[in-house]
Amino acid sequence: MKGAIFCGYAEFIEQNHGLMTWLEIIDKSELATSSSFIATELYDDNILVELLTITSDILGVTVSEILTSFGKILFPKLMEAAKHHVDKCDNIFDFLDHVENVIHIEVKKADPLAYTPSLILDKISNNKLLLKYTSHRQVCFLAEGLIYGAANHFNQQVTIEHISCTHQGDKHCLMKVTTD
Amino acid sequence: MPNESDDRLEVERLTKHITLLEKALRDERASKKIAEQKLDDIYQHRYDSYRELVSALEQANHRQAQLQVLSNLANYHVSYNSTAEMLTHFLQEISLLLEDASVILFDFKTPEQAISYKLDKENNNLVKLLPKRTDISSLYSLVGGNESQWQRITEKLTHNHEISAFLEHDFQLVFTYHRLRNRVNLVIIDIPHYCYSKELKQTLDTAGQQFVSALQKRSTEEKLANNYEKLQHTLKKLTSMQNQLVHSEKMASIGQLAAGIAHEINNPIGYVKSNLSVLNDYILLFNQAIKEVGNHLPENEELTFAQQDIGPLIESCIGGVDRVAEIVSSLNSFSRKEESTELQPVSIKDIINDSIKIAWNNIKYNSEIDLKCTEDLPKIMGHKGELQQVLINLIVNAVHSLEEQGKITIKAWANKRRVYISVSDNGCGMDEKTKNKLFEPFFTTKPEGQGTGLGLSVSYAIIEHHKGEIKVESTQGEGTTFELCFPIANESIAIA
Repeated sequence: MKGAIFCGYAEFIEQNHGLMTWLEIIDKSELATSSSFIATELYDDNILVELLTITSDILGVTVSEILTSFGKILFPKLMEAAKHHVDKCDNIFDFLDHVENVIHIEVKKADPLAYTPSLILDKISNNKLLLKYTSHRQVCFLAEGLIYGAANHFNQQVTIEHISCTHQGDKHCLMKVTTD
Repeated sequence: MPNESDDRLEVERLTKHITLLEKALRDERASKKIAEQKLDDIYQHRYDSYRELVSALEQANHRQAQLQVLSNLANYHVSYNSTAEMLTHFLQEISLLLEDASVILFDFKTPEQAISYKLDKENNNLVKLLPKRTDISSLYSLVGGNESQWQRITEKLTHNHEISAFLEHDFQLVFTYHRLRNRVNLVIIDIPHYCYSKELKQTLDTAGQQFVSALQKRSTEEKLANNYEKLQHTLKKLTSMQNQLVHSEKMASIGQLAAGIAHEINNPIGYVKSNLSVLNDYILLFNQAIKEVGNHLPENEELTFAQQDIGPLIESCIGGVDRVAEIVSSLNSFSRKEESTELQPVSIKDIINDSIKIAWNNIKYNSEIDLKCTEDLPKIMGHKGELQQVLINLIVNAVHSLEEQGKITIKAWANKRRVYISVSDNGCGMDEKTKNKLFEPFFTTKPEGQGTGLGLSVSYAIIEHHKGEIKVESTQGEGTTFELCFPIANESIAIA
């Protein structure tokens, strides 16, 4: 996963819960070797999974709640970096239709031959779409958080239903996104 | 002991320290961000230079997988498999492409009466889904007129409970095409989602179009094959008609020739026969006169011999003339001089039985007769005597073809328009040359003096006169079958 996500997460924890909480999380982590991440590097996805689990334990909130809050904060930063790719989008569905390209570019900048996840949409109706997320990294939870963040950015309310999930043994993650 | 002032100073020192450290951390972070930004720019630059190559590589990878599917399908389409196998293979490939999705197929002329099938992926075939036909008109109306295109149905198929019971997911992919000119197939792929790349959707479309094109091509090929078969049949019929025409022309020419000869012979034969009769009377007178003056005549052995021989000579001449007259009469029959015979409803069964009786003397020594007539054989319009003549001729010919003991099978049957009779033997059979000349007058395979060669030619003329047909099939060493057919008499009098 791109280091920018880790940097954003560190910033999110620091801003909301202080530097000490962040350092405590890093201290408890077995996978993270430093409290500082380099935004342009690629890191093991499991590090983020572990950091999220530790955060959930320390703060006593669910991972999903952390992700939703994190997504809201991270999204504008990512949007800022990639806005030239998606500046014509004015709603969540349009944005999701273009987001795969953004992810690809950001990952491939660090490693042109790196594996990129696939995010494919199936728009069922004006307020419903199915989203298939295929990635061996299995970080669908982050994708979910970012969708919440994106919806917030476009002043829309969404509900996400995880129909199938790699964490449940399915081949890919399938999310049904419904706008209110 | 440190006093309060020292503590305060220490706190101030530490606070200042922390402030400085925080500032240093912020500076470090700011510098890191600048460094990261620069690195990102470098990466961006590097990516930009690689982008086309990377994107081409990715596209090539995608296309390779999809082309593999299309190539598999195309290879299968051009192979000599049946249309049903082609369909099953197509549906299986599509199912595999869409993560092993379930496939239902409807085959119908009208959507109210559709036959449903399910793809059995394990056994690679289509099995019936519902035992009865089902109404899929509402589903078909959702598809509209979009043929040969994959279509996402986002309305739940609850209007047809029979179908929905077999669907696991809420949304389906539908594909329709014309299997035959007036027969439509509707394919339903039961998928949980349609989250597939544009390339894969394109592959699906191409595969669908490829399949429909292959079906059309197959249909055109079948039409061409049918047309070719029809043409072959027509050609065969034409050749047969041409042969028949040539044969009829030949027979007509021979008939004309025979009629001419008969006419030319008839007159001299007439007066020769009449003169011979008179001559016979004259000889009787001469004999009477010789008898009366016999004692006064000198002994003459030659005269005595002539006197004895003249009677049988005249009788032989009259016999010969009668035989010539008979041949002339037969020639007249062949040349249709006797078409004036009146036709009336006759029973073929009776004619066959009578003919067997008449020919019994010829049959009884070396042959066995097997007679198979269907019940309620309709009557035909015919002349009993002439038809008997034909049958006797065929039976006697059959007997002559038997080398020692043999079997003659006579069958009679009918369809709606015609009555058929066949006379078969298991005798010596005929070669092609004999078969070709069979109906020509004076053609005979019998030793000289034993047959006139007029039997079959006269029979041919009689059958023609009855608007019938005669066919012969023969294999040397196995036997011969003559098949005759005659039109059934008018319905009012046809039932025997």
